[in-house]
Amino acid sequence: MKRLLTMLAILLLAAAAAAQTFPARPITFTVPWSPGGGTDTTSRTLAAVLAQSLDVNVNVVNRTGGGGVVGHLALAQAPADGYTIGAITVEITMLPHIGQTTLSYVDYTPLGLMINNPSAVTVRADAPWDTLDELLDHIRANPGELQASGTSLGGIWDLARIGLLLEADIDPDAMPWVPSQGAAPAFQELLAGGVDVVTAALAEAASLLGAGEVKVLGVMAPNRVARFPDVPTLKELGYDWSIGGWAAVAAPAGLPDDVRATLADAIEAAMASDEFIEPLTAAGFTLQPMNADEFGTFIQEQHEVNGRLLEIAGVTEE
Amino acid sequence: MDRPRMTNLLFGLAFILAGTWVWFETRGFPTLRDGHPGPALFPGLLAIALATCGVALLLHAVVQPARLVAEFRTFSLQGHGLLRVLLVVLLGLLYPLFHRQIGFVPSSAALIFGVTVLLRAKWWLAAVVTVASTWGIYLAFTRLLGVPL
Amino acid sequence: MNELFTWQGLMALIGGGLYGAIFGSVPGLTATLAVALFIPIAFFLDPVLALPAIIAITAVAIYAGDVGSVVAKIPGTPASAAYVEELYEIARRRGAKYALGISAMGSMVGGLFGTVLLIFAATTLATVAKNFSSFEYFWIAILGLTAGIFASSGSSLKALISLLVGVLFSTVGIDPTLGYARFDFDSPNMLGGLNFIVAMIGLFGFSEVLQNVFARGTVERRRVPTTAGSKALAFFWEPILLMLRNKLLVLRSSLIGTFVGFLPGAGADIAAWVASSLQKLAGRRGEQDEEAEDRVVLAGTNSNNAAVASAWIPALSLGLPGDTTTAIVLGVFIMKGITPGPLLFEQQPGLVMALFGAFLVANVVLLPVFGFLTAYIAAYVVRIPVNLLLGVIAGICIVGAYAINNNPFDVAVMVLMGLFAFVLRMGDFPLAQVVLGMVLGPILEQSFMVSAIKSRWNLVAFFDRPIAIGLMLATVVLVAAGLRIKAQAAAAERLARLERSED
Repeated sequence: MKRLLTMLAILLLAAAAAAQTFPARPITFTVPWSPGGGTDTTSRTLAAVLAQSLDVNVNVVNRTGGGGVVGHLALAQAPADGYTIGAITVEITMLPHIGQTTLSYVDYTPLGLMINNPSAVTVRADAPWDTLDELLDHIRANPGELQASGTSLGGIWDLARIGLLLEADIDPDAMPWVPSQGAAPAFQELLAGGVDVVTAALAEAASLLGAGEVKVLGVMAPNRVARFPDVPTLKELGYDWSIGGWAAVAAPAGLPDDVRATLADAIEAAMASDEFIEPLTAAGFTLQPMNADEFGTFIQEQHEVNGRLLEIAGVTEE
Repeated sequence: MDRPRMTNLLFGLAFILAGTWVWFETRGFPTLRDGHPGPALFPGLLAIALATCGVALLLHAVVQPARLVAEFRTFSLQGHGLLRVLLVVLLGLLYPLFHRQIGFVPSSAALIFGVTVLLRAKWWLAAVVTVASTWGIYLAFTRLLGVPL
Repeated sequence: MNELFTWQGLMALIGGGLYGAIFGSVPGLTATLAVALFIPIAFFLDPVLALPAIIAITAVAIYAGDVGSVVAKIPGTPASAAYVEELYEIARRRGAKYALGISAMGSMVGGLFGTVLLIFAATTLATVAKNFSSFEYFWIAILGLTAGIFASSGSSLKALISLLVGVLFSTVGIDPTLGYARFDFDSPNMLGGLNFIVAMIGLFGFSEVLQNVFARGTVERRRVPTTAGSKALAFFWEPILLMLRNKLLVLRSSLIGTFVGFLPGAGADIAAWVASSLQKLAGRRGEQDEEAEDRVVLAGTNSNNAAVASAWIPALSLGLPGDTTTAIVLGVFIMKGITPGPLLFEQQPGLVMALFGAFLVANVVLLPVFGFLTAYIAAYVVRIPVNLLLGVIAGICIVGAYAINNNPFDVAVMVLMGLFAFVLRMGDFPLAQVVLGMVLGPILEQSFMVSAIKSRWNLVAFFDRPIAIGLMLATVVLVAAGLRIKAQAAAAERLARLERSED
């Protein structure tokens, strides 16, 4: 009996010790999009750096499906003990407004922003407009003539179009949206002459830009993008508007404070490391590291701005 | 009424019902902002087409000349066969329904053992195959291919 | 080119081929997944090594999709589904080695054909690809669906119903115009729709298990024929003789593969369906002989590997990714600071040569070698008693369905699809058409809705672009030929019956 008690006591002690030194076992990192995409690549790079600094395995698991809802849901419903963290993306500030999920940013503990790929105004290389102002003047003079595409109706690049036109004091209906299944089909339509403008991510336009098939009139980012120093920002052109598709790290809501602090510090340090910055910059991503607190404010703003734009896009639930 | 004719009749009815259900379901979908049909257009058209094909199948079954019957691969519907099928389906649903409680290894072992025994393998041979293949699949997918099970 | 023939280059090619053979053979693992999992490694490799490895993975994985058809009647890709019945039948009659021999050697020739066009006509073909807008995609999807109706050996009405059911399955989830969730039963798992690979594993794999469990004892014992003569001969030489006897067929199928191959996402699938369906129609017309099935498989396998090479044309010369694999390839380009486009051929001749070289080696060396290896293994696997093999297949169906999205919900979809297929089989409905419908459904709806919105519902726009009209005419010709041949076959059969009854 005495021996049994001793053993129990030792076990309890061990358990307590384990609880103090988070993390004591491998961490699961969920990704709501499929392998090979931007969110996946970024997450895998971060996970590799985190595994070194936290000295445990960080296993990346793709939980895809449902337009991102499945993966976001899986993270929100995981136990809030720090052993399940994951990527959340801009969709989490959009999906709740269109009634596709009851999830929103309040279901997560924000840990940091990784990348924010800005939208760009892209037209065919032989298009008659060389500057953004020329394009906007054309839209103003001929409302409804030009059409834009880039993703589904009410998707992130549609919001980029609406935000830009509103900022330029043009009715968003003056350049209506043609839905597409992502950026690549939209660019195919652009080349085939089906649409006139694409507002997808600058990174998505990179190879076409290199091939001389398209030109980029402006990027919707606060600063110029390092890989495309010649592309002006909208702010420089006189329009105070920026938008991008971002991916961030979060944990389920209600994470204990000490665990949150450990993870937030490790992630902030990881995002400042060369192992994270170099390969991702080379791959054409726009890094916009934010720590947990900055990102917490950012995601709240995003939730409100995107809600307003989605209402204008006409896809919010009545 | 002979069996192939009966089968066509039942399938015809089933597709008419399915088409009708889809049609009424699509009536609740929203339209585009300019009033053109949007999400409802495609499933709606498909529902009409499916129901029409159902009617065609039904007519075909009624007016079908007896000599075309030979085209069919006929099944004998013994009751036990259907029970076995149902059992395998339930074993297959073990993993999606109870993966949190029992995990991959027991649920897939149950399925493999069930299928082999139902196909009249000797129980000890079925057990050997079950253990070996579950273990093999588990190792191959988790270790070699990096699929977390 | 020289970089390719260092030992690292050869290792990259061989490693890629082996990796592709494994991923292609296992149901649920696809060429796309294989390439995606390879990216972290591609980060650190020289592009002259990384890109050839990717080429080797895709070329071999697409062929290996046929291994499942031979072993268990589970096609690995929707393209393989076009001729799964025939391939399985050949394997039963003449052994796995000959069946996979047709597949591998046919893939080799198709792949070579596509590669040659890629080398000599990339920029010319790119201008054609550039003109593909939603109107052209719409007609190409219609062409593929039409091929599906006439590809069936049984009743065309039933084939049409199977197709409609497949297209209807594809409308589950978020709609392409408004993002409205259709038939989702309030489950987040249904929002993204039903995955066609998951469905395929259920429709073919699990339903086969159910079928056998249902009719145990009455199911024919699978006899494995011991092929006369050398086994290597059955794999290498006999398929080559077959192709030599059918040169025109090979040419036609490879051309179809190359020209339909640019279509993002489904190019290879549509190509295989159109080519093998044409061959089935042609076969029904002439005298039935022993090789009818062999020719159908040959047509399908020729065209789908030709399409693998032509999918690279828009990527290399326009910077436009044709499918997930080429999107990843463009990612590698960007990472390494390489610019795709017409200038690529002038600025990076070394890299371009390495790519072409990799295509040649992958098709001429890797396909036969890994093809023979997989066929060798498959020939042993089919000797396992059916009842034990089916148990293992049931287990693989579960993991295969799960592996695609790591979502247990998909396993439930797979099992229920298996049950659905079991019911459909009772009514003699073809299953491959359901898969074709699920693959082409989204392209059809998306391209129709986009075209309609773009042209502001002026439907005349569907008929006033040259390539669109060409594709439409091709569809009309296919329908006319199909109806005529079906009618002739029916008349011949009536006549035969009449004669028999008079006897």
